[in-house]
Amino acid sequence: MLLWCAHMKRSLIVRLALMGTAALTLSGCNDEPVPGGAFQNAEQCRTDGRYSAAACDDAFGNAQARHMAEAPRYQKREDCEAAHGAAACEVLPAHLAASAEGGTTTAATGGIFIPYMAGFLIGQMAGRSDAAILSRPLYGSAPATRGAGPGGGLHTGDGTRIAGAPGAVSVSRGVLTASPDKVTPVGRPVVQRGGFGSSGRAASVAS
Amino acid sequence: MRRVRCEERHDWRARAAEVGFEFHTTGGQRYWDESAYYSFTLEEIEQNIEAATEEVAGLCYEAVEHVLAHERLLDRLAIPPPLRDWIAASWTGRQRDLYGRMDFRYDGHGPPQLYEFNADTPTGLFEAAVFQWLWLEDMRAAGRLPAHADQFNTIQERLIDAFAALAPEMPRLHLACVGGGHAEDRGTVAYLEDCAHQGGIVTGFLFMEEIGVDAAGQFCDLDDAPIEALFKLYPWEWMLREPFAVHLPGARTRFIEPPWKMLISNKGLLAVLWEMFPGHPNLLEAYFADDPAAKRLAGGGHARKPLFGREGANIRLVAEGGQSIDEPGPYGAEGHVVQALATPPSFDGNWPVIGSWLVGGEPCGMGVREDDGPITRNSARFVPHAIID
Repeated sequence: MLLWCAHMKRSLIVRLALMGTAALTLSGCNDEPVPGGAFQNAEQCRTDGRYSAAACDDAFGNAQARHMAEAPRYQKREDCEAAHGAAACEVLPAHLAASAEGGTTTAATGGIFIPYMAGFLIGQMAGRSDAAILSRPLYGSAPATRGAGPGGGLHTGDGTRIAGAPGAVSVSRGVLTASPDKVTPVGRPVVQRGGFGSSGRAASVAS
Repeated sequence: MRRVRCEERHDWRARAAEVGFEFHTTGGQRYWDESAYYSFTLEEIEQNIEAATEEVAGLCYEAVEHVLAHERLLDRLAIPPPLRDWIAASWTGRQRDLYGRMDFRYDGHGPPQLYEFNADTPTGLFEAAVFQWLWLEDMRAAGRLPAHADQFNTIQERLIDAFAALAPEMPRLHLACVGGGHAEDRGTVAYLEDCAHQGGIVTGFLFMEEIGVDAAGQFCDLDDAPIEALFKLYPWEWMLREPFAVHLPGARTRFIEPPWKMLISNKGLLAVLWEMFPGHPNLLEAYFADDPAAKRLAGGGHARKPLFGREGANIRLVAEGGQSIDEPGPYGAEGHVVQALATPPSFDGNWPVIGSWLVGGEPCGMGVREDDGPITRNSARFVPHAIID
């Protein structure tokens, strides 16, 4: 990450002494906007022409590989469909549901539902034609319902809105570079259990 | 110090049931044994056992400072490097401890000598604090012990005082032990929960396996509510090697015992103490097993103990003639200490070890456990004591 920050020539902190506002500070370079694209599939990416055919294929494949780990999670199919649209959801394979929850198997009671991957985000660091292509899976929202906020757009699995429709986008660098193990999908049970106690199942601790 | 045979109270099982003492018999073997008691003089208690306990506690606190200042010793004690700063912070932050039990060799003559200090998960608490107290009261009331018979035992009131002192910084406390039906562990935790409640703390129980970690890396209970303070009857050396250990440094949870106590409960401390205070009358000569100095003990009798051993498991006793006794068990991977052999005295084939209790760092009571051989194992019997001058 620091490598990509190196081209920065501006200050990391800006003080506006007379306006009564707090100093504006960059928390790092993660907030910096970078150009990217949001596409429904590799074909649409290739047709757009912004990225090479090979880049589009790589990005799409990588996003598919990340899909199961990053997709929003729901305990009920109807909740998933309410958020992502009719017939837009599938069941998360049980072994993935268990491993993602610290080894406990809350999924045993009927499965966890996730939306199909609706597209992918593709990007490359500005000014670095040789830099690796980065990508993430994207998920669609159900059409807007009254009072439910903007609908129909594309989101990452942890809830960042990327675009209203496919095409060129501008995203925060951190969204593009988030590694899969740092992404906590929407709806994933946040409490993990079972990480203590394994040494002592066989024995009393008396001493 | 004498061992006196005596008749059991005819109703002791009913008395045990009344106070919820369920683990008086384990695996068909008696654990609580009042077919005898140990009689001490007040001088033996005050001048020897109590004084030695206070003295050794002071040495241990110096040793904690010393160990934290020497990376070499933290290596020796097999303390995982990523957690060292966190352990040190619990010491420099003066996080208060609750309790501990020093095991001494003592025969009524000469100074007590430290076998080990169970500073993290000592058990045998309820029987020492409550049931032997009740035994003394019943025996006095029945006229079977003199009215002036006493006991070294203010453990319970000191526990309540200690919890009351902790209450302002931990108004809510969760208590945990491992699941799986270990009556002794569950009983000990239930007793401490009772004391904490009396000390003005709001308490809750859960099993170690039920502890959760939320998205922010904080420990939480079964309602997903944060665990602000946790009493764990579960050894630090096990916790440090389990998956949730990575969350320890970032967690806001306060622990009883605080992390620094793991430096004292580690048997390697016996070698550290001897290195710092060689020849101290309350210590037995001890070295890390792979220290060249350990050869000094090779010729004479010695005990070899795993750094993280429990219940006498994996201890090897080697007599002066070279014959040895081995207790089997799962421990020893992290290394051993060797300690000069000092077998307990034998009273008609019963080998007692003194368990001297500290609460809030101060000596406040005693329990005697005896076994049929020189290694005190989990099969040892708890025998009550009285002070009769």
